[in-house]
Amino acid sequence: MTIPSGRFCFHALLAVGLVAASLAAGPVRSADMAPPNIVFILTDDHRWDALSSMGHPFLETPNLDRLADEGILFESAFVTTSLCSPSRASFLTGQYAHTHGVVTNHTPWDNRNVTFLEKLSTAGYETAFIGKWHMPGDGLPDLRGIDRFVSFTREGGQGVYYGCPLIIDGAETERPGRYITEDLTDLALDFISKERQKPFCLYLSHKAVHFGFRPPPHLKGRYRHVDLALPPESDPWITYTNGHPFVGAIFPMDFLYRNYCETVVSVDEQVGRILDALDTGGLAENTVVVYAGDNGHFWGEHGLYDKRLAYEESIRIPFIVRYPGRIRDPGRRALQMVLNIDLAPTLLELAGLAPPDTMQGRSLVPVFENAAASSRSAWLYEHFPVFPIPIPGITAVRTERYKYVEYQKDLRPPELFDLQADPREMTNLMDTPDGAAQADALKRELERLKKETGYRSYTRG
Amino acid sequence: MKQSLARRLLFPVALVTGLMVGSSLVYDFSRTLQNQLLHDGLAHAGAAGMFASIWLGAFIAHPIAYFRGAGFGERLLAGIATAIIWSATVLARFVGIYSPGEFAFLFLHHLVLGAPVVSLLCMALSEIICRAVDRRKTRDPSIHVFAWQSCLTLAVSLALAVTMLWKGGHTYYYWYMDLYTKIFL
Repeated sequence: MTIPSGRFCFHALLAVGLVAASLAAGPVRSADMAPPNIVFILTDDHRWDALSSMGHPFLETPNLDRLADEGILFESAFVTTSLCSPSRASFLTGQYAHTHGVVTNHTPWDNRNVTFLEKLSTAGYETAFIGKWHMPGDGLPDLRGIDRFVSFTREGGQGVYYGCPLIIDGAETERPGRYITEDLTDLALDFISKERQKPFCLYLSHKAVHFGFRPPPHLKGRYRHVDLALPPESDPWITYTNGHPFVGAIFPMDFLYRNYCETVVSVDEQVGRILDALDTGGLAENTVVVYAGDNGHFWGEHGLYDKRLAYEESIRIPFIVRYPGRIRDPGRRALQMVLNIDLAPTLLELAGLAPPDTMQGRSLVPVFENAAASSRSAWLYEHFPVFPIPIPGITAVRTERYKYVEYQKDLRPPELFDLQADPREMTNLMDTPDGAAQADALKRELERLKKETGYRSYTRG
Repeated sequence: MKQSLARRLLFPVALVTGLMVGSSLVYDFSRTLQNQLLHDGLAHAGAAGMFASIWLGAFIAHPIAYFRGAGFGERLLAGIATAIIWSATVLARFVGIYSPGEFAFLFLHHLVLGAPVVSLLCMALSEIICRAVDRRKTRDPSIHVFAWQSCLTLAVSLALAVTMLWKGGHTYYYWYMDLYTKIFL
């Protein structure tokens, strides 16, 4: 046995001490580091696996992949309600739909709701909301703490891909011939590149990749000849059958999916422009970039199209965070279950602010700093009936292994899935002995989560 | 020659409705099949049968009714009965989800009204075609190809169809939803 020399021991102790000190210190960001800039990019209906970095068979998303390589890709990210307006309000407020009140695409936004943008503005941030608002009410809301507000009201707030009139700080402006994803990105780049002394927060919310899935001309037909690799139970006519026409996309499934994928590529290109601007402006190091989708999307799984239901394809979203100043081990995949309601408290903590008690999400900063950080073990999913869609209200609990789903007034039988053994949720275990054994505990957990979050049911909207 | 009620009305309705039910069952069954070729084949066949029976069924049922001596009212019923049954199955998906008032409001939705309106349009066209064929075959000058009933049916159904399908149905949908919001929210 060789006895280490005194010099070696000293260096070893020094190294251990430094590591221990850095771990004890927690955040990478030092106390005197300037508050980070924030760029939050939200897309519509972009499901979690529509990324090349998630193993998609043909999609090319090099810029989103780059974001993931330089940050954290949360592989188990979910929305608490899989529908545009409720989910968007949840991102903004850090609250469940039953708390912020935008329970469907028809229930109005309450101007008393507090957003993370308002909190950041109060703390000295310059803020911009650019893009899709799409929440009911009389036109656009009276959002507090927004220095620049660009949005649209065309088609009930959904907007259109080409020539969508924008309301820029209250003034409606025509945008003839403009492609909306590019147009919104141009405005975002104007905001990012502006000379300022304060940190900024940009909320960039795209119409894409929502129906009608229109890619820009240079991407049209890019995937015309690829094998779409849709699930085996899919067929082109799903969108015409079983109540799906009520969601309004009456075209063959494969036609829609090709256009969807081409539109995703267009989003990726525009994200690349944002990343390039941060690089060239020397802002990348101290800018938090978050990319997320507002809900998932079915492409034939379970014979379904659209979203809303509690199956994985509907509730899982892409969620990527890059923040060189704070994230340890960039390029990693995180498996902790994170939710859309976690965004707001996370951004506030990164800005050095305490999230208000009214926010129901949890800050993800511990996961940024420690890959093994613990996370929630179960969470509540909720969906409220959206007239005129033939889907009843839903509550569900999802754990790391199981999902238990209940439907309003028992209009459909409850469902229980073992997500490890059956990740595609093809076998309802409710009528099996194993399922019955699990169901009781999951029902109790569902009730506990409802109570904890102040759940209340809405039957109209 | 006027045939029995069963032959001039019930049979054509049952034929097209049977095609609709059968093809719907075939379509839904296709999803349970593991064999991809069989799955695809049955899905396509089922979808084609559904489309033919729900949207174009009037072109099958109406001529049968016409040439078996059904009166105009019966011919009209034969032309749109399957579409009405289909719309009833569509409405059945909503039972229990919304309030009775909202459920009633669904009757104005273009996806509920759409199939009967398009069937009415097809029936009116079929009526004109059948009258032309009948006139030519029987050489009976008293048969008017453009009878006022068929022209009126054509005009009404065309107006409704254009209203509901204008700009891909978006205009009607947003009007419908605005009205919904005003009434129910």
